[in-house]
This record gives sequence, structure tokens and C-alpha cells, in this order.
Amino acid sequence: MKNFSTIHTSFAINFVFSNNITILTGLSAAGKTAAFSFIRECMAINPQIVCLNYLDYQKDIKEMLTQLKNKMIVIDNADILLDDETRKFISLDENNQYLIIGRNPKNLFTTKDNLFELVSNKNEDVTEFWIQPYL
Amino acid sequence: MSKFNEVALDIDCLSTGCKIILNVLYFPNKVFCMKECGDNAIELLYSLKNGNIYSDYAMIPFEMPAVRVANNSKYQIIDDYEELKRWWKNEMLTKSDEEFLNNSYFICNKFCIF
Repeated sequence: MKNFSTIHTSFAINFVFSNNITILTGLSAAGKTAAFSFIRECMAINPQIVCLNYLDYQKDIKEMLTQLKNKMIVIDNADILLDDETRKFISLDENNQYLIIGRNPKNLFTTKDNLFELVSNKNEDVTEFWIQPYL
Repeated sequence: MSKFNEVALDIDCLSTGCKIILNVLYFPNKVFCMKECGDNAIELLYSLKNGNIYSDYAMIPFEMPAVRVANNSKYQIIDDYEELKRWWKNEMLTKSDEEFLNNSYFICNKFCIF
């Protein structure tokens, strides 16, 4: 998935992905989890999207990921959700694309090309979200 | 209030970092993981006069006040960024992840609860 766009009430999301693994990081209260909730609502109409967050804490995330193919997997609260083994699996997973919302890139074999931050701009009544390189 | 549309937010719409700060502030007898905090939230956490926080890797603002760190029954006051980073690194080198989870490493501003 190279682009993801959606509109939710007065918010518009337009993400352009340049990598198989995108780590979305940045300050608290930037709108990352809000963006995640908008993407999660799209799960109902787009079976390609799979969303995970702290509510999945008790599940075996790695086992779940191994069974997915050709999905856009969006993970919020990744710093508490992903253990080292799952991170290593993600870094070598050729079957899926990942949008990981968190700050700890440990074991994901990431470079600055994987790190992005959320940017927002209010245009009249619509707040637009997009991602840009973090470094 | 939401910074995007100035609508009053329910608690479940607050950012994770904001919720952690409120929890640390209002529940000084509990320890909260700060791994979901951004730099802005970490600075605020360290500025609190009271509270207990935890992380299994170093999360330190450059401008930090004196904090009391604890592992098992050992307490220590640290007021220097580099020294605190060294303390954290040493703790990580000597303990496995599992031991971290079992022993709970706290860093706090005034009180520690074991």
C-alpha cells in the first residue's frame, strides 16, 4: 500500500508510505492514536487493513502476524505490545506492510528512512494529517 | 480541550502520555510504565514533585531535576543526566528482561513503593 487516505468527521488522513516498515513517532498528543482510530474504522470496509493496540496485549501477537499475508498491519502502543521476538519477525516479514506507532526501534533493523512523524494542519474546518521524515 | 478543534475530550480520547502523567500525579502509591511517553510528556513527568515511574530502558530529559532511583532495596539520589543514564545502562547490563519484569525497577521523584 503506497497511499492511505480517509476522512473522519473534520479530520482527513493522507499517508504516503515509502517503506515496508514505517515507524510513526513523535511527541505525545500529536494525534498518532487519533489517526490510528480513524484507520481502525476503515478495517470494516478494507480487509487489507489489520489494526492492533493495547487491547491486544494478552494475545500472541507474533502468532497472529505469522498467519497474515498481504496486509497493512497498523500497530499502536507498539512499545508495550511488541517483544523482541515479534520485532525480529516484523523486520524480516516479506508478506506484510507495517505502520508501527511507537518510539522504540529496537530489533526492527530500522534506519532514518523508516522513521516518520505525524504532521497536522488545519485548513478551514478540516484538520489534515500526513507523515513526514522524522530525522 | 482538543488542540485540533477545541472540543472537550473524554478521558478515553486523551493521549497516552497525558493519561500516564495524570495517573502518576493522582496515584502516588502506584508505579506507572512511561514507555509510551513522548519527550514532552517525559519532561512533565520529571517535573512532578511526587510519583513513581518505570521503564526497562533509559528515558531521561536533558533538563532533569534530582530524582530518587531504586532497585530492590537500594535507593539513590541522582541529579545528573549522564549519571542517571549510566545507572540505567548498568542495571540493564546486569539484569535480563525477565528479571526486569520480576524485580520492577523504579525511578521516581520522591517516593518509591515496592
